[in-house]
Formats: sequence, structure tokens, C-alpha cells
Amino acid sequence: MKYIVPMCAVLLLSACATQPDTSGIAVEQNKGNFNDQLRVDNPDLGEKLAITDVKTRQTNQLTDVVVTLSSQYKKSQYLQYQFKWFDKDGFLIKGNHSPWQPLTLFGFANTQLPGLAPSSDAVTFSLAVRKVSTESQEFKD
Amino acid sequence: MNTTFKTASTYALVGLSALILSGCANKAVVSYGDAQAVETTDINFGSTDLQKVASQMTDSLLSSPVVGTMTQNNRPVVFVERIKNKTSEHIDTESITDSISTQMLRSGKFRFVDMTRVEAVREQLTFQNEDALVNPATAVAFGQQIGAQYMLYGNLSSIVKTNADKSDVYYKFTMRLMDMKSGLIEWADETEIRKTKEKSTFGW
Repeated sequence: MKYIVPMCAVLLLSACATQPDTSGIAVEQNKGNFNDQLRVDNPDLGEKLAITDVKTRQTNQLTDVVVTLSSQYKKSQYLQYQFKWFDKDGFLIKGNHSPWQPLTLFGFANTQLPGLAPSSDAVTFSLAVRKVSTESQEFKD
Repeated sequence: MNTTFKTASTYALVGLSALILSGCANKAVVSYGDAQAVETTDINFGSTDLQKVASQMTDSLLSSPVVGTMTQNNRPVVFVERIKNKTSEHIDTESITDSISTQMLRSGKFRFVDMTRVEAVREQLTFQNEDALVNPATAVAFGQQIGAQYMLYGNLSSIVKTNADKSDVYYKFTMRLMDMKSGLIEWADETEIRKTKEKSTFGW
């Protein structure tokens, strides 16, 4: 009996406190030397996902990027990704409208995430990938 | 004595649970969200779909080889006709074309004329040219505006299917850029979105 009350309390409290984990993995280009830098802020997601390749080229005087994302996990992953663009001095491009885009990555699948610079000022980029956190999707994992 | 204690404990337990539950449920919290984050509130056309469509169409247009040739030495003038909404939902398609034209303008490769404000412009020019209040030397003369060379237009259609456990909606967004002089379609692309809603097996 004496355990029931604390157990109930823990159960109820844990059900209430659902702050989604909004960390993820990211790839960034350093200003100047154009080296790609991989950052894993969410080790759980870092085990299930890998950024295997980053390619850049110029298309119509705009920087064109393709990042290859590979799943290391057997089930589907419900993700979102966002490109951010910076000018040659490392300033974020103003009014940059690159929203988080939804992405469903199937088990052990590879996909290419395409990004195009919004203007010719944008020379370096960062790409962030994180989970889509909704209550209905939390249980699909 | 023992029975009384058990009854009291039960009341205490129920009371505590109610207290904890009410503490969670009745707390109204207002917070600012990320306007660009993925939103999955329901299956209808939402902000994420609008942003995805606008961003993909702009990227496709700006990276197309034909557009590269077209914009190499000049900035073509474009007018946006409209996106026909062929879905069963009410969707503000002007909002999609606004996003696309803003991003195209921001790229510095295109210029636009705004057909939605023609009446307002005419009214202002009439006032400037015909009203005695305005100094005629500063009035903007009629017949100086630039005609659009290209027309941007498109369609948004959907297929919706529903059964007892599952709803599925498929959107197809098609966009085209027509040369006004020759009538040729210089660029076209389409993007698709599929959204599925299933009843959750678990849940509170």
C-alpha cells in the first residue's frame, strides 16, 4: 500500500511532463576553409542516423548542396531538417526563409537532402536534423 | 479500525491523484512556437505544407538550366496569375504565390509586377495627373509601366481517402512559367505531399 501512492504520483507526473527532445545532429561548414563539421547533440539519434556525404556545386551562380543521410536503424524514422545559409562573413542571410522540412526515412535507407542558397550572397550553410516530436508519433518508434 | 484506515487511505489516494491530475490539466501555458517547425496538428493543408511547396518550387525554378540562361544578363519581369485550388479544402493559395514570389525576388534574379494592385495604382496615378493638388512636374505619367514577359501559374489538387482507422491525403502541386510572347512553357515542376493519420494503438 505504501508504495502505491508514490508510484501513482510518478506515473502521473511522467505522463504530464512530455517536453520533446529538440536536439539532433548537424553538419556545418566553417567559414573560410569550407571544412564540413559534424555535430551530434543527440546521441540516441546519432546512433540511428549518419551523415555520410556532403557535396556542393554552383548552379546558376547559387551554391547548391546535397547532403546524404543514412539510416542505421531498422524502423522508419520521422524527422525534420533545416538548412541555414550564411554570407562570406558568417552572417545569417537576413529574411532567410528555409523552413524545417518533414522527412520520413525508412529502415536502413539513404536519402539526399537538397539545399539551394536563397541568393548569391549565401556561401556557407548548416544543416540540422531532428525528430518530429508529436505524441502520436512518439509511439511509432 | 483497520477498515477505517483502508477507507481513509483510499480517499487520500483518490484525492492525491485528482490533485496531481488537475495540476497538470488545468495549467494554461502560452508560449511562442517556431513558425518554421514541422507542424502535425491534423491532416489538413498546414503551414509546413505551404512552406515545403514554396521552398521546393523556388529551388527548382532557380536551379533550372533554362532559368539560368534566361536570367544570365537580365532580370525577367514576371506576373503571378494564380494557383487554382482544386482540393476539397479552403486553401489560401495567394499565400503560396506570395511566398514563392518573395523568395524569387529575394534571389535577385527576377522582377515582378503585381496584378492584384492594378486598381490601386490606377487610382493613385489618376489622382496625381488629374487632381489640382499635385504638382504636375512630380506626377508619375501614365504609360510608363513595364509589361511582364512571363506568367507564373499553377494547380493544387488532392486525393483524400478515409476508412475507419486511417485517413490519407495526397496533394499535388504543379507550377508553370509561360513566355507571354511565344506562349511556350519555359519551366514546369510538381511536388507531392502525402499525409497519413492513423489511430494510435496506445495513448492516454
